[in-house]
Parts: sequence; structure tokens; C-alpha cells
Amino acid sequence: LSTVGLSTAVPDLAGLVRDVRSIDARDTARYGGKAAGLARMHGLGLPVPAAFVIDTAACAVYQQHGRSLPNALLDAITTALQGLEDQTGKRLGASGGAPPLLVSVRSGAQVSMPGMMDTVLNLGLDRTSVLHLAGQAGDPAFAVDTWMRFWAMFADIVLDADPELLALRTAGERAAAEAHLDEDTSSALEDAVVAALREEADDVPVDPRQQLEAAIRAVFDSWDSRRARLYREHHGISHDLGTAVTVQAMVFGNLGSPSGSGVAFTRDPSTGERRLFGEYLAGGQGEEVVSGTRTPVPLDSAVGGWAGLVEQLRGYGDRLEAEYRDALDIEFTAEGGVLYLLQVRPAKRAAAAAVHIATALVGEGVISRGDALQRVDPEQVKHLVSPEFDLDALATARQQGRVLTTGVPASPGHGNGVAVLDADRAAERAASGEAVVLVRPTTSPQDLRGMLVAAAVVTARGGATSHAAVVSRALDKPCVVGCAELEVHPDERRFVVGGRVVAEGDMVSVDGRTGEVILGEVPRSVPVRDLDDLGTLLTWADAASGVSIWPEALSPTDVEVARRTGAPGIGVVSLTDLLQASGGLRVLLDAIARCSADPDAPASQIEDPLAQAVHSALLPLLHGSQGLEVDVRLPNLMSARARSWIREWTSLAPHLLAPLGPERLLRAYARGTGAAAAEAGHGQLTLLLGGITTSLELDAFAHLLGPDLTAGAVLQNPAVLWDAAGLADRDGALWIDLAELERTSLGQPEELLYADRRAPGPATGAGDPAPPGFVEDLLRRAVEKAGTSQLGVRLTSNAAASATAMYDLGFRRFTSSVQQAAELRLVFGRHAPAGGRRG
Amino acid sequence: MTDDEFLVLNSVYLRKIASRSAVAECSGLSAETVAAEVDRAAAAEHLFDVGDGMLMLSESGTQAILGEYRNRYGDLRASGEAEQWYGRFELLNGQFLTAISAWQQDGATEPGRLDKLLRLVERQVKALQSVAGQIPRYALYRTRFEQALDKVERGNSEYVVSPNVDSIHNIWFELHEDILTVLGRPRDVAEASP
Repeated sequence: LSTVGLSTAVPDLAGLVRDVRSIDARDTARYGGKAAGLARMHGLGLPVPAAFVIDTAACAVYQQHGRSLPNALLDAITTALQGLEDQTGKRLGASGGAPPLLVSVRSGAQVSMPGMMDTVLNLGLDRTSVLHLAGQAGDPAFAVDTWMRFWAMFADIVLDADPELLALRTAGERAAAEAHLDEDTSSALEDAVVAALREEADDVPVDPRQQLEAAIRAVFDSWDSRRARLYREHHGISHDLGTAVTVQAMVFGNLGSPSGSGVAFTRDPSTGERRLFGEYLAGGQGEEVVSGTRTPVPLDSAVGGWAGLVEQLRGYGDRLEAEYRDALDIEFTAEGGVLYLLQVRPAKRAAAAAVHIATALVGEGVISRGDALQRVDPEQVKHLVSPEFDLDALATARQQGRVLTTGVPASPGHGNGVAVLDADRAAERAASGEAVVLVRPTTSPQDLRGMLVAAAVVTARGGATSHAAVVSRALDKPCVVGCAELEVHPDERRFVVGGRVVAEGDMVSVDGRTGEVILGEVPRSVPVRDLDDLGTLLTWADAASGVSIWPEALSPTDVEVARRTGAPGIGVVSLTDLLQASGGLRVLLDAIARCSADPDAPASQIEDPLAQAVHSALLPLLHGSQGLEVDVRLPNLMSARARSWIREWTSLAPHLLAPLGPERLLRAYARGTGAAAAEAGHGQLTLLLGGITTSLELDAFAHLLGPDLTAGAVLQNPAVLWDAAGLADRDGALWIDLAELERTSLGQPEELLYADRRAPGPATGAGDPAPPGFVEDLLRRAVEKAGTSQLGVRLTSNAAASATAMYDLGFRRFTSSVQQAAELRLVFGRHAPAGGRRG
Repeated sequence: MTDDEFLVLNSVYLRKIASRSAVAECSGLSAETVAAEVDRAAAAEHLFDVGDGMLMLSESGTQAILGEYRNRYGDLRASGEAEQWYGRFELLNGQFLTAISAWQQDGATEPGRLDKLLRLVERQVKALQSVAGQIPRYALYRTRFEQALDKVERGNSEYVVSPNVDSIHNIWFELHEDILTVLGRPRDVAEASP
């Protein structure tokens, strides 16, 4: 029976509470990331406020003791607390006239997870010590504010009570204490706080020591919260690990001179440039810098005693960067001329800065190329290649007074389209291919159909948290709200702003970053600037993955972006799209109609005009893309688009719809293409035939094109993939259109591909859906029989989520839209084993 | 108006445009009951099908539902208790909208953002208890919130704000609309204050 006692090791409870200066900074399992980070900084000789940590093992002790802290542990906490008091010369609860010690209490598991207790700050004030703090700072309002901030956090996090309700119910007593702080007003305030909180919580301790214990218990309880448990189960993290608790002395930026607090970045968070960036607020506590309620001083304009502190900070920043091997943000406070570092962590950064920092750190020899790929998020790459307003056109629009109004910017991005004042009408116009901007007095779920299709959303009313703002952000669409001058009359189909009347159907442009709503179209394109770092990063991604992605560039600007980001070639360019953009669509439709009505019509009616239109449509693209292979997809008369464009499609002469399709048209395409290629001096052109069902069609197509043009195909159905062996050893590219292949395999209507019914999401690397099993088998078979040197996959936006599944099948050639191409290159680079993918 | 009739019309009213399955989800009624009530309401020209099975209220339907709100909640509107309770909702509403925006901004890197947001939802669920007696159908909001919370807690963050699913933001928005209608206040007033 005594073996029970022997098998359970009696933990040395006193050893479970330690000064962070004495712990092993590498042991995050025992002390959690927070305390280990403090120990690491201490080890580097950096000034961090005194702190102690309660070991993760104490979490289990707490649970075994029926959710209570055993006396031995409480004693250890008392000893550690005395250590803090000795180091700071302050006392918790401020008995005996010593200045009050205020502490922060933080949870600290090895892995940060949801459901864990948030930080409680400013713990240590009560009705008496608040008077000391006020006297010490010479600022009663500051002392009351610090105290009430503690109560707000303690209520919210430890007692699960509404902090705003508390503020409301104690507003009178608080105002009285701020106006004249003495024992009476501070006692009245504390009584009011307790009375208000008793309505929501049973036990409301006012003694700082008891508050500290309650906060520690709350940390251990949060380890067992439903949310934390679910997270651990989902991620396969053991429930036994437990969380540590870090208790740290607080320093205040308003005691003595120079004092103050701020945030520093070791590199500029918007550009990534290596320079100490940030600001400080003289004589104020950190939160105010973050919430922007007072005017801070930029670090590079520091004056007086601050100049020396900023120099120190610069030195600390360099030391920390060398240790953490990343750009950092540093929260700091100076108290009476002594600098303290409160928190150091990888800096948040804009997309351009993320790319610049990652490549610069490789250049400085600090991280590897594989590390660099992990430092940039695919979503950030997507933003860098998102179309933006052309700067000149924007400046012109402003000069011409076309800015209708400036509202509250609620969701970033640039969008333009025709103004539509009703969601249903917006949905109708968008379905016919028009870009629309939804302009509403305000939005509700009723407007969702319109919001889903809109290029941008504008509302007259509402703030940054209105329905329009929240939903636009969720949909990743530009949105401007709170345009107070805007009178929207949906039924009259017009809106009025500053005396100007804008009718439904008029073109408007929306800047979700500045809040400007502009009359007329401000053209957008992918900004060509700032792409050099991205090009470098993506080249590393390609090297890691062995993937080549061919963007589907339609315009010379697209080609320029493709070139600047190091694309190997231009992928599946639709000749139909090019004809449409260059005004040649009518010529194509005419040629089809004539060819159908009279197969023997003279070349002057069919081949000549069509070849000329193809020549004009292709020439600008070919001029910009010398040295890059260009794959052009020929029009397919069987597509849904062709059916909707060609009147009387069902009466088309059958020979036009035979395998291979209309030979006269194919020859005309080839003639126009050949002429454009010759004129542009472009020698790497492949023409792609869509919709084929057997490799024999491809043979016939190659024969028809002759030796000067290369024949390739877009593979859209299971039949042609079944013939995989026949696809082997081809000269031209073979692109599997994945979305089409899945659609034809599943027998779904083509319209599904055009109606994107899903909310847009990033193409991520993890947990991506794989294609249906038999499609996967077909693809695997195709890779085996035809190899992957010419066989690639077309990933449209609705197939991007399968990108990594395609990679795992062995595909290394892909084509996608220009915007998506860059993002996908990073996704593959991160996914590839050489790109540093973990697990 | 029977309870079922009210629940069905009210669901369409709150959603503005809703499929039959959305009505079932929002009202807690079975598909058969919803189908029968929709047919009845359509015959009375209170609602109509705008295509793709999506339902909207007619002008008479809107008037009928607003009238029924007056019948059912007239006494509650007159009592000071409703005001007090609405004040509680508003206090949480402001915090919730701020928390949603904060989560959208940097929830991916700040785990505390989601915790804060979910805590507020739990507080709202708790606050709803105080009107459970007067408005029993509010129990369904609790159920829907809990279902969405469960999805979010299991890592499906789509259920925070996506307009395409019964997300927390959707449910909250609908509840707000519902409460305002119970109190007989126009939506615009609430939306105009940022």
C-alpha cells in the first residue's frame, strides 16, 4: 500500500518559484516563453524589470490540490515576492510608507494558445497605496487611472465581469477621486468598485496579495478552459504540460526625469529599412502610445536626456536582433532616467517590409534562404501584387476635383466600377460582367448579394465597426463608410454629394486606404515598383520547390510584373480575352458566322480579317515578352462563353464543332500569330488547343500548324487524360485545367466555375482539399505515363487550394493569374522540404 | 398570429432575404412547419419568392410583422425594464464591434483578440437570460451562438464574421435587429452612431 506514496514524487514546491535571473533561458517547457524570454534578455545584459516565475509543474500541483494553491507554494510565492520588493525598494500593498510595488501577471505556456489568461497589469493598488502612488508621481489623476485600469482588467479577465459596466457604475466616485484624492474619496471608489462587481462575481478581493493569488489561480484555471483544451486536442498538445505564471515588477514612465515610454522597431515596419524607428511619450505609460491619445516624439528627434536613452536603445536593438535573428519591436519605459525593456517580440510589418527584411537578413548572413521563405506570409505577397490606382491618374483625378467625398476608410484596397445603389441590381449588372461599386445609405444582411459581387462598397452612414465595414473586411474588399455628405436615393437611382448628382451607372473609384470616393475610373494596375526584393525571394522559393509558374499575363503591365518577379514564361493566355480587350471580338464572331453559313466563303471574308485581328491583339503582348515562352489558348466554340456569345449557337454548321474544330479558323489564328511573332521578333510561341478528347487531335493540330509554330493543349476532361501515354514526348506545353477537369469529371455545369460562391481565402499550405480520389488517380497516371517536363497544371482561383496536393503528385509546372502566381510560388517554396517546411 | 407564423415571418424579416433552410435555422422550426407556413404566408401575399428559393417580405408582410411586434411586446416596451436591458445590450454591443474590428486587424498574430471577442459573446449569452421570461424565443440565439462558438473554438474561424455562414457576427447583427424591433426603434439610429 505504501507504494502509492513512493510512486508519486513529492515535488519540491519551494523550487517551483524562481527569480527569472536564475532560470535556464532555454527551458521554455518549464518556464514558458515569456519568462524564458526575460531570462534570455537578462543573460544578454539588457535591463528588464525584476520578475519571478512559477514553474509549469505548479499547474499540476494546483489541480491535484483541488484547484487551490498549497501552503508550501504560497510560502514560495511570498519569498519570491520579497525578492521583488528587495530589488525594487517597493512593497506590494505599500505598508510602512514604502512606495507601492505594482506587478503584472502573465500566463506563459511553451506554446501560446487561445483561451489562456490575458495579462493583468498594475496589480498592487488599494485605497491606501493609491495615495502613495499619487504623491510619488505628483499626479492623482494618473494614480486613479492606473488603479482603475487594474480593476478593468481584473474584472474582465479574473472575475469575468464586464469592465465597461464597472466603469459606468463607478463613474461618479471615480470623478470625485480624480478631482480630490484622499482617504475618503479613494475608499468610496473602492467600495463602489466592490459593490458593482459583487453583482457579477462572488469573491472580490481588495487586498493586493489576495488579488495576486486570484490572478495566479486564474492563470492555472485558464489552462483548463474549454477553449484551451479544444486547441490542445486539435493540435495534439498534451494536457499535462501546464502553464507557467510570470509575475513582474512594473515600472512607470512618469516618475522622475527623464521618464516616459514607447515602442521601438529595429527596422522600419512599413519599408523594412534598417534603422531604429518608433516613438516615445515623455512621462506617460505605454498604452497611450499604442492607443494614440497623446502626441509622441519620434525616436530620431529625441531631445535632452532622451537622446542618450535612444542611443542605449539602439545598442540594445542591435544586440537583440543578433540574438533573435529577426526585426523586433521593443516596448520600453524610462523611469527616472533608467531605461527598461518591457517586451521584445518579432515586429509586425507591412507586406513590403516583410519581404525586404527577409531578403536583407539573408544578405546580412543572419538567416538562411529557407528561413526567409517562412518569414513571409503568402497573403502578404498577394497584397504586394494587388492592383492599385495608377499614381498619375490618381493625382489627375484629385487635381480635376473629382474626389466626391472622403469618408472613413474601413477596408483597404482600390476598386472601381459603376455605382449601383441596390444590392439586387448590383448582382444583375455584375453577372453581365460589369464591375460594380455598391453605394448604400448603410448595409445589412439584405445587401450581401450585392456586396459579394462588388469591387468596392461605400456607405453614407456607419463607422469602422458597421456592418459594411466588418463584412467588407471579411470579404477582403475595399470599403469606405461614414460619408456624411452623401445622400443616397436608391429608388431614384442617384446619389447627391456636395451639390453634385451622380447617377447609377456612372463610374466611381474607391480608395479604401484614404477613404476617397472619386468620380470616374482611376485605372488600376499591379504597381511595378518595389518588386525587386519580391523577385529575389520568389526565385529562392522556386529553387527550393523546383516549381515554375507561368503567369497568365494579358497586358504589357502584367508582362512587366511577370518579368520583374522572374517568371519563366507567360502561361495560358486566352486569345479570346486578348481579342475582346483589343476590340477584335466582333471580327471573330463574324468569321464564325460566315464560316458556318458558307464554308466556301473567300479568304477575304474569313481568314484575312481574322488573321489581322489576331495579329493586332497579340502584338503588344509579344513586344513586351521577348525571351519568354508564351502559350496562347485558342478560342473554343464548345465553351459556355462561346454558347452565350454566338447567337443561334445551336444552328452552327456541324463541321465547326467536329473534333479539332473549324480548320479555316485555326489556320487564320496561326497566320495572324505567325505574323505577330515575326513582327515582334518573338520566337517562342505555343498555340494551345482546348477541349480535345484524344492525343490524335493534338497530332492533327500539330500537322496543321506546320513547323513554325509549336502545338500544345489545354486538357480539360478525363477522356484525354486517360490517353496519357499518347501525350508523352510532345514538344509543346500541355496544361491540365484542374477546375475544368474536376467539373467535367463530376458532371457539374460550367456556370459553377464563374460564380465564385465561396468567400475568398488565401491559398495556404496546410489542410488543403485534395481533388476527388479518381481525379487524383487520373493525374497520378498522367504523371507516370507522360512525365512532368511538358505536363503542367492550370490553377485558377477556385483550384488554388489544391496547389500543394498537385505538388505532392509530382507536378512542377503551373500556370495561374498574375496576382496568384506570386503567392503560389511562395506557397510551393514553403511547402517544399528544402523550403524549411516543418513536420 | 400564431407563434409559428410569427417565427417564420420574423425570420424572413430579420434576414431580409432568406432561403427556407435559413428560416428553419433562424426560427428553430422543422422544415415541414416552415414549408407550410411559407405557403400560407405566400397565399396571404405576406411574402414572395424572388427566385432561387429566396424569400422576401412584401409591404403587407412587413406591416403584419411590425404590428405583431407591437402586440407582443407593447407592454415590454412600456416597462423601464426593457430600457435597462437594452442598455446592457448596447454596452456589450460597443465592445463587441470594437473587438471584431481588432480581431480582423491582427487576430492572426494576437491570440488575445479572439479570447476577448468570445468572452463578450459569452457575456451576451448570459445577459440574454434576463429576458428569457419575456421573450422565450431568444433561447434560440443562445443555441446558435453556442454552435458558432463551438465551430470557432475548434479552429474554424470562418464562423467569426463570414457573411456566408451562421457566423457570430451574423447572429449578433440579427439579434440587434430583433431587439431594436422589439423596442420599436429604427435601425438607422443604431447604425448612425459609430
